[in-house]
Amino acid sequence: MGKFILKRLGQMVLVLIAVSVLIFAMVRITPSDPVASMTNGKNVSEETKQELRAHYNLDKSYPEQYAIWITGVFQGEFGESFTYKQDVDFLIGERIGTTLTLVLMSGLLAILIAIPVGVISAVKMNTWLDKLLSTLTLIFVASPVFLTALVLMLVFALELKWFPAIYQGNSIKEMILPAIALAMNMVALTSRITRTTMIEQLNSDYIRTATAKGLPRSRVIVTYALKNALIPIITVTSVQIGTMLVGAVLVESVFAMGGLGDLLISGIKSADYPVVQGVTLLMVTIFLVINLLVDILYAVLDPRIRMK
Amino acid sequence: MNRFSRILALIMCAAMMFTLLTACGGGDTSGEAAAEKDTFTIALDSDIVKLDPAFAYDFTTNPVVNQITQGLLVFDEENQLQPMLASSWEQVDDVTYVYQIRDDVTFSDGSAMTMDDVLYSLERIANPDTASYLGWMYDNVASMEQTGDWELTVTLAAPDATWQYVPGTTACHVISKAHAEAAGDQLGTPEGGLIGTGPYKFVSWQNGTSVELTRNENYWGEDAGYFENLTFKIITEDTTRVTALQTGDVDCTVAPPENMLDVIAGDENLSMTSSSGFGVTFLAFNTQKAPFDNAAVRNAIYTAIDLETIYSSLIKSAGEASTPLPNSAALFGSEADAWTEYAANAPAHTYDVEAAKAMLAEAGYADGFECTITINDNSLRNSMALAIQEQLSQVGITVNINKVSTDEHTALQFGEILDANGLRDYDMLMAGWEADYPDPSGNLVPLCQGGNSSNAAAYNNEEATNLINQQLQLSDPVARNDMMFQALDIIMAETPYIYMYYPVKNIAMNAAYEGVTMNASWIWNIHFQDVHPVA
Repeated sequence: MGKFILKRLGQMVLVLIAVSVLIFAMVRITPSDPVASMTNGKNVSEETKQELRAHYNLDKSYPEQYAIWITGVFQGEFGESFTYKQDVDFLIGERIGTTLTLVLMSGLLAILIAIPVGVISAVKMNTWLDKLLSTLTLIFVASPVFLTALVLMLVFALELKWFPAIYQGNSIKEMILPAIALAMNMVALTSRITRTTMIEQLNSDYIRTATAKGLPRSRVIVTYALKNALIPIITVTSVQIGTMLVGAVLVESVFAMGGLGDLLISGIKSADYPVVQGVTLLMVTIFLVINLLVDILYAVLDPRIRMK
Repeated sequence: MNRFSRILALIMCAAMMFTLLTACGGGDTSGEAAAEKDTFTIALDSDIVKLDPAFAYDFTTNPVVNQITQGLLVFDEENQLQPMLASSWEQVDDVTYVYQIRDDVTFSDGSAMTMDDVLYSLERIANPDTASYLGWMYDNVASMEQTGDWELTVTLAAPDATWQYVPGTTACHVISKAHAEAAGDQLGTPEGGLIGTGPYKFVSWQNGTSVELTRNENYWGEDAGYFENLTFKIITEDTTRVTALQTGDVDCTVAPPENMLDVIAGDENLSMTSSSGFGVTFLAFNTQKAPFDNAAVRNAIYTAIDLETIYSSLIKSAGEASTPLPNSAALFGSEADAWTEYAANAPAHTYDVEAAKAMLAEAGYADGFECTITINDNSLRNSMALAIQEQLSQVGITVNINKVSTDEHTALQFGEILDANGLRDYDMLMAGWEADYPDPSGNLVPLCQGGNSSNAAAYNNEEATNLINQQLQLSDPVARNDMMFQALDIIMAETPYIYMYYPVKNIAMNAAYEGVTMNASWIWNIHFQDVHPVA
């Protein structure tokens, strides 16, 4: 088992190095000049621009710039933001809490809603209730996160005045609309998966046996069917949590949450290379770590995977 | 026994509780009694750059920094200079300016402001090592010296018409030297903070989220702020910023989005404070590129565009209707009489499709040509580009609209991106410029001076450029006006730009409050200390 984890960790490091090169190249392919962004086209002397270029190592060659960045990353330093004049690791540290809270809250919310919905749909297969739930989840799966967030805000904050329109970090109530907005896509997908796997399980022989033994219906559904259906559900959920990090970028922007997503978007808008590089690399790392954890979980559950 | 069914039941309960909570959670976020509030909340459209006057040169950083630090002088609501930390000032000769500094000013930490603090602050921004965005304002300064107990003398290297305004900008804001030296590299960051002489002092800055200020109890002036606290909340999404204002989550938003002004005007709980601005939104012809290197073609396009309809149907309250001059009357400053007369006699724009066709035919483009307008992602500019596309099709010119990111747009506008031949890489560019101070040359110089990086038309008329350069080195307003008028006569005949409109400056507020001070130069001059509930 230790060998398996080590091997996967090694692969992860290789992937991260490849990704870092890719990120580094991609932020520089965009036709923009960070110094022009920094000074926002204002009347700034050529001397000051040279000072800024030198300060941020922009006057060095690309390989040199990459070397400086990646050496810093290994020492836990992501460089100084062009626009904020502060260390990127500090900026990330200040914001990561909001993003993680949002993602965890949405993930939890999504699971709490999706699994019961999926189970009910499967048990009541092809009834009006099933069709209603299927249609609703279809709408949510098709609706972009950004749109869902705006609609929720306009309806529940502006019209009904149930919730504040923006997140200010004062109470958990402010997190509810953003969490729902982000959870919707995941609710849709997870409940579809739950429904499909539950139907499969409910049609299995062991369920017929259990029912024939005279066990209560609820116990057959929950203890027997759902327990066996959970494995594919965990797979989908864990992948979804990674996707949520991306969705969080949009939700944070709509609700002015000042999380990592907001930082990333403002970084992209202003060609703030260290910010874009740092945040993207962090998100990729989180994604990879989640995948690694799931792989380990599989390996624990199914020894066959370890052999491959 | 069946653990799973119990868990499922719990999950279901939790989901139901959540739904209930959601349904009953309705609170009245907007119904707070205005009089009991001690915090006034202002929405900003992006995070501030730094809590440091040296980097305060935009419409989000300045509204925060201006509450904490103050300049030697200040612009009043009529854009005229007034005393602030300097009680009086005098121009002794062409290159010498003398400022009498107040001796009764204290910083927010209680310490007294000394001449040492003043000189330190000015010299820090002038020093190229600081890489201040405002350092260029000191380019022409030969020396800054203490010439009396409370007297500061600034000597210029050469006569300069624009130095007079610099003490009213953040380039001359005074910070505490003791604090700045103790803070070192951390000055202006959330940890380092900033200490100045203004009515509010810094409390905290949570990156990307908010900045908190509180009343300066040691304020040297008569009244510190009405509200005990100011919160600046960063809301990048336009719709959210306006919605938060409507729901009462914020009390004010500076620079509300142009395309949502109608929404704000239609909400009776909101009010708008407006002021004409120093800016201009223009369509620049790339005069380095055929056929736009031909003034006849540029004039034909100018004649083929119906500016009046574009103004009345698209621009509306977002700005003032343009004239053939690069700036609105707000920039005439103290020379308003002479400039108003000149503007009245300037050749007016005429919209005439047939005349435009004839001009094109004479220039050798009877069948028109194909070209591109480059814009950034801005809904008003997009609408104007579409209108121009339609109008120019009437004279046989096919216009393609090329929408680029704001960042790329900025780089194009200031010549940071050039084509293979080292020329500007667009046909026509729709962009904007805003003067830094209320001087009639504020837009003319950057837009029309040959070789200036802000000259998006890459327009270079030697005679006009010479006149522009000469007037910059004079301080006699009559002689300056005369040279600028001569330059403008040449430039207007050649149409390097079509001026679309002069954007107005807006602040949208909850109608329960009033008293925000601002003017056309509000980048230097937006103050919240007098904001109070409507009686």
